[in-house]
Amino acid sequence: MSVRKLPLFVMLALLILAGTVFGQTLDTVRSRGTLICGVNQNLPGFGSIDEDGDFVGFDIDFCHAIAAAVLGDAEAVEFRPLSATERFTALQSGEIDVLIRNSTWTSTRDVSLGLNWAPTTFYDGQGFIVRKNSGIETLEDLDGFNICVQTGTTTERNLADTMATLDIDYTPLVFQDTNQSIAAYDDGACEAFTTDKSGLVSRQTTLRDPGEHTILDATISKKPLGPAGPPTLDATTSKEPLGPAARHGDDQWYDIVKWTVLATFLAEEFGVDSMNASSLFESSESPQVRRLLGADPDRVSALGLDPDAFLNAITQVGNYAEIYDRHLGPDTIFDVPRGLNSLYLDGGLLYSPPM
Amino acid sequence: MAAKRPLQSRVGAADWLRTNLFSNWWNTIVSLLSIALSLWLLFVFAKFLFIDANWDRVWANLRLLTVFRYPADLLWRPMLVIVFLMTLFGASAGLSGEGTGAILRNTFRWLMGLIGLIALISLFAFPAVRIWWLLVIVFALGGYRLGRHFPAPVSRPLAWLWGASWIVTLLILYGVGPEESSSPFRLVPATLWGGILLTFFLSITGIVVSFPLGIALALGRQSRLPIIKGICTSFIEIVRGAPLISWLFIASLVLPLIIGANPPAIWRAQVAIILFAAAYLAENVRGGLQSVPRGQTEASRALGMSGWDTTRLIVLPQALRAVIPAIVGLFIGLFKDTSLVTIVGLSDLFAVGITVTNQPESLLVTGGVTREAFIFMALFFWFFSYRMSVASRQLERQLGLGER
Amino acid sequence: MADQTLVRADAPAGGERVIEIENLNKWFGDFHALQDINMSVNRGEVVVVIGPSGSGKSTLIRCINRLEEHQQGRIFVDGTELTDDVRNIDLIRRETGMVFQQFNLFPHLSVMANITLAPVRVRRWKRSEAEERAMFYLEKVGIPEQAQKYPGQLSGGQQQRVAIARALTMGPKVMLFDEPTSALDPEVIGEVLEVMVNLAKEGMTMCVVTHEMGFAREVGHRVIFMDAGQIVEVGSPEHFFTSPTEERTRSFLSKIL
Repeated sequence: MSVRKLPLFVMLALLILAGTVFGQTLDTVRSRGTLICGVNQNLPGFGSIDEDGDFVGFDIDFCHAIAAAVLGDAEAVEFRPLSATERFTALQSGEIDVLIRNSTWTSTRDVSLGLNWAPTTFYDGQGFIVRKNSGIETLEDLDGFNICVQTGTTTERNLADTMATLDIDYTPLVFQDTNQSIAAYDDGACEAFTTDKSGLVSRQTTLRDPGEHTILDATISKKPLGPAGPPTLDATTSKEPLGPAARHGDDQWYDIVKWTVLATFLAEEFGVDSMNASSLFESSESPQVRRLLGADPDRVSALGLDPDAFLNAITQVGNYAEIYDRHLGPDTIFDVPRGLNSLYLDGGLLYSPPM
Repeated sequence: MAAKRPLQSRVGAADWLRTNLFSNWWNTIVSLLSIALSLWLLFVFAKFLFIDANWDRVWANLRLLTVFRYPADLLWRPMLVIVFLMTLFGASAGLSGEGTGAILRNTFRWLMGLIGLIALISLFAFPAVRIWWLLVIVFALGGYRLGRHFPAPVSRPLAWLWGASWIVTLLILYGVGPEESSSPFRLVPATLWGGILLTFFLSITGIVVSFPLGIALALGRQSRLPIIKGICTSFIEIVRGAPLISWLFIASLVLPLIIGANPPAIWRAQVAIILFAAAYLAENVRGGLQSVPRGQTEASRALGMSGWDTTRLIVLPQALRAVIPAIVGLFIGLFKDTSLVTIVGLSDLFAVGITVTNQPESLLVTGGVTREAFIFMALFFWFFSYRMSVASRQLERQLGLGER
Repeated sequence: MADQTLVRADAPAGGERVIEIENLNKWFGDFHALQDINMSVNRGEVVVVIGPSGSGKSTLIRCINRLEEHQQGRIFVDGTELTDDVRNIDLIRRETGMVFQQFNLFPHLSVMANITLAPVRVRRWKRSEAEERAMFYLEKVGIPEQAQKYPGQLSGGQQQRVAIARALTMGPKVMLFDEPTSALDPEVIGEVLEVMVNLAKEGMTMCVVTHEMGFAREVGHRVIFMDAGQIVEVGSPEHFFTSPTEERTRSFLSKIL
């Protein structure tokens, strides 16, 4: 997913020492009046800066949602663009309140880096893009071909692991960044280009002839991975659960981040959206909806938030489906199918505990 | 007589070609191949530049590329800084005499050409700042005339203004009142600065501050006091022992953990840049100091001059002129190296360029806009680096004149 | 050393002592560069120091304005003793003009700036005053027309004359010359010597390390011959040309004459 370099590891010890010295994040944010949110400015669809200098994207909207929940104003966010390398330190040192920067939830980061991951907002995974007329439909078909990949990423390692497991012979062509890799692929330097599926979808539009290419999808590996291997549903070769992260040592703040994300899930599940939330707050008979919107205030208040926290978040930003569609949905240039990022009711992985 | 002249010069050109490019068959082949290659490269480049390239995204993002997220209603403040600095520069250019002063005037003329071009474009395309670019021209030329015609009364206040210029610039850019207000003087936090503004700010501050610091370090390294010598030497060697990128990491990642506070990212990077440049500058200056013959110091001391005066008036000027090419090279490097701050999350021109290529709208362009963005950035860096090296060459020639 | 007779180079009695050196010893590391030097110079006297290279003659006059630090003995210049006291050192340097073998003009400054720098910085004269004095001495050394040029644009002889003018403009009580003609082309030595001879005739106190015996004969009051860090023989120029007593002196003179 990201370039990780030595300095990061050098500082792990320091990070853990620094872990708990920062007190009540909620109070800090309230007295400051703004939420400082660490983000990516270079991931189209998730975080980018538009011509007017405003941050936009899927991750960005979760920053807005938390600001709306905590401060009542979705715009009370100060965005701090972070490089992949410095993002975790920035969180640990208290420079940012929450990190929402397409960061993959891994055990190392969760445990050793002293971070807490809120529920995954986007289930990503590695995918491949190939030319439609190449006849390539499965990973086995890539045998003997060149594959363009970004260097220093989990993508590169996952590719090597998967191909070794499947005993597929290939030549990796590595590049410094995604734009270079996709350009090389478009120039015919390699038969396939691999990165996170969200990245593939967003880059497909830059190809000379986007319609001539396809993302390997729902293609079943012909050869089983072996008795112990998991069943492969498609050519997705890795798990990349992306979500907001808060630092260890402030459980209240972590709960707030976590439940703000879950609130967007619940809102979609209950059919609450930015248009009807206010009227449902007045009129809804459903105890679940009333608890979510703070009409029955005790659940929200228990988090230390104002009763109308999630009402604000949903009114000002929207439920999960609205956020998703706004940045990744069919009306955007990306048009990423919901897939795993559907509610459990629809066969996806989005499932919130009851409120 | 008059008709004959062009004929003669044509013969001259033909002669020149024959002797230089086509003197024998081997030379001829190499020449023809090089010419063909150059023409082809020129054609490819020009075709991309004027036909294939899609400049819409760069054009649409010009504000982002120049000042990043500096508030749109406060653009007059960076413009005021330009007016201020160009007025001072104009006055200095007008004031300057012959010799090295001519270089200052050349640079001023060249800058005014660039500003004239920008003013012309903004006249039609950027109504928000066009009046300001005209003001820049008026004030810069006014400053020039003032310096030219009233050198005596101007020179002293000018020196003071230059001394205060950095603080004044900071004050104008940062502003005063609270950030939330709609006041035109409200605070603009450094996190909103970026693009060319940040590139210039980081590199100019880096150059201006590292210069005296580097000289001090070089002198300190030659000090007779072991403590000062030791501190300076180890500082220089430690800083030079790691690449700038490491120091940027350390300044932005480790420093906040050690000091338990978070100075704004821009200052952390700025400190790293300054210290790094100073260490390298110190070594260059040390080479210059060693190139000054001992006799110079002896002659000065024998005249009764103090050690400090000897260093300041005799040794340093000679040492510095000996290493001017190296120092300018260092500054050109520093100017370009500021783009490394990208990796600590600062949005200099390079970072903003990358950001532009990653806007969803940019992905709608076939092939993306990476090439366009990079050409824009390359032109910017080349423009100013080239100008610096021209000035450095002129300076060398000028100084050589005195030494001959 | 104890068994050797110590040769003293005392100035004639009755004169006003400008330089007084007592039992001067200097070492460079283990090398004993100056051994028990005793000498003095009266006001208006021209003392010529000769000797083979490495004999310590340059070191000796460089000790007089503390370009070299001595380890033993005492040096007085115009009544002020050279000690570690920086104020004394600066005071003495102000009153002592020095001319070097390699001229040591400041290449980045014009001739005028070379000459006026120290008067303005050290003596705190007004610039106009300093320039007036500078022109006076430039005329004296015969090159007033070169005032605005840079040292690099002058010939060696002209540069050395500028160096002399530079030292003189400070108004020194004594002038030290460290082989002033050794680095010059033979054809320009004359012009520098002429300036020095005139200076001597005007009564300037001078201490000159040189091999130019013609100069010594014309204006020198005393000649000091040094070898291996010691003063070997002292006498009038005539004494050295006609009847030097020491073998070392005779052997040296036979080589240079």
